Amino acid sequence: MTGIKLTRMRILFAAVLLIVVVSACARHEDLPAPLSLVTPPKPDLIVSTVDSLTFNLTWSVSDVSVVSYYRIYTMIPLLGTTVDETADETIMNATVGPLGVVVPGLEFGVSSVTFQNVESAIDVEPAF
Amino acid sequence: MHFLEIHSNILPSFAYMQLGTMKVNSDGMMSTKGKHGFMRPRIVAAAVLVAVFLPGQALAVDNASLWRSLLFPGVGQAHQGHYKKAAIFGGTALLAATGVFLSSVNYTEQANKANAARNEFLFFPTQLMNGEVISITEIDETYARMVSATEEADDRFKVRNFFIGALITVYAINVVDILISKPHDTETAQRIQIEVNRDRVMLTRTFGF
Repeated sequence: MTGIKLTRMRILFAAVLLIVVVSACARHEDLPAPLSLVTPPKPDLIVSTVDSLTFNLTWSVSDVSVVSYYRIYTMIPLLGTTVDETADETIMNATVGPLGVVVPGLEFGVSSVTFQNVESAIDVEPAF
Repeated sequence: MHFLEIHSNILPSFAYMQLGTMKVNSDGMMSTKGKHGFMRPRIVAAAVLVAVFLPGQALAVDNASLWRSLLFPGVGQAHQGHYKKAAIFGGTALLAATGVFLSSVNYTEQANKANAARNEFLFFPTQLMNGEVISITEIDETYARMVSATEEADDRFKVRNFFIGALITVYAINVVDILISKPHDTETAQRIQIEVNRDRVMLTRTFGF
């Protein structure tokens, strides 16, 4: 009788062990809900040349009401990118320059930033 | 009035289904005396867990073989002398165990990727609240990466569960087999017998499974 009880205990132990092993296995988390963010509008940039060292940037957006301010990117090859920010959403033009030298491959970019600090894609245009 | 009663008083694994006659006594109480039929269906699917509750007297339990089969499928059968069954159980369990190991490694790697992408994505609101500017492109890319990684993890999770299920099934069948089978008696079952009569000689080869 003791042997039978011992055998049953062994089976019970094995069954419980299997269940514990299976339940203890790692499990990935479920997908979270998408963030409720206002999609920032991508500006449409136009670059005009005042002279060979000075540039005038003008842009427009589809919905200005969601924009807090704009970011202006000046991209100089080999030297990197500098970022300036406008004061508010009403400023939709900027003048860059005069630069010290004529920079081949110079590019400008503009993005909008919403009130939630989400930045839009950058519209990049060449200076020349 | 006929009714179907299902009860199990001693052995939970066997449901004794009795077809009886319901009678109303003089005091208005119903009794269930009078059997007209008897069925005894076996529930095979829950064999391992059910076997825990089975009284040992009802089965030809060979403790040594049972213990060996619990260690690894097929070992108990080999101990009983059923080598073909031992090879089948052992080979299948080995395949399933290898599948569990490889698919678990595969799944864990993907689950970590999915969870990392998820954590990165869920950290965006905190960063935005702290005034950090984040590109919508980066948010979209992280979300797409998280969805892709999670879907891949889902697929690998199913594969891992398949192998776990296969391993558990092999274990269960292996234990049930040990519980219901008897040790192979090599002494009584002569493998080769020769019977010589006046007009013929008969050679008999016995196979054990």
